[in-house]
Amino acid sequence: MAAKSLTIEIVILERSRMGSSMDVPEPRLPQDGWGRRFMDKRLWYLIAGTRGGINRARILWTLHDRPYNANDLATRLALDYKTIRHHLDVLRENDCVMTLGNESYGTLYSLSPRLQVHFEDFLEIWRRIEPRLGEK
Amino acid sequence: MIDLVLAGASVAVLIGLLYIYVGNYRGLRSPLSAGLIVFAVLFLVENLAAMYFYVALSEWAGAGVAVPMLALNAAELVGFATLLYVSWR
Repeated sequence: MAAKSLTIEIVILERSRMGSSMDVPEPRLPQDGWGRRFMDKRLWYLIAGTRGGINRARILWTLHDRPYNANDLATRLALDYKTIRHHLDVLRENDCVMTLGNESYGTLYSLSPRLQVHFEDFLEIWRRIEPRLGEK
Repeated sequence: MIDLVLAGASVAVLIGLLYIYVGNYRGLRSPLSAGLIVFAVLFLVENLAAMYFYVALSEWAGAGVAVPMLALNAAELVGFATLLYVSWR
């Protein structure tokens, strides 16, 4: 009896932990306009000005749906796991994505609040990329 | 001689930059990536021309031309190498 209730308790704890870590935090709206200008420039730099920019855009588009871990992203985008990790690191340095929960193998990545707020800027770039994706 | 090596290194760095810019242009077709390509191509032409003139003019123009050119080439190479370094990540 004691063992059973303990199991139930663990399951409940586990679920509540998962539930809270799966939630994408509410985007915070910046008080002034500086965030928009910088995010727009940063996205252009990350996508047009650096190596693997198109794949970075594909990662951001995929994470727009829901959070994924690096391994899932690698499978979905048919890219190398290490490539994905590298892109995620760069995107995180530039405050475009963030990790959910503590860092470990299966860490989930989601769009950062700042990118969520300025997602329209990303969409402007994405509209150029999406129609060309099948061509390669 | 060092002039030629520096200009050659700049050419290599610019080809690296072009590789990045062309790859992104193919997926993006934006004015920004087109501009980046024009930028890199013109400097590529400039460096190839510098190498050509260095050889062609070495007959009669001596160190008076070669030394200032060396300084220009060195500064240019450092600039392009920095740009490639931050773009390659």
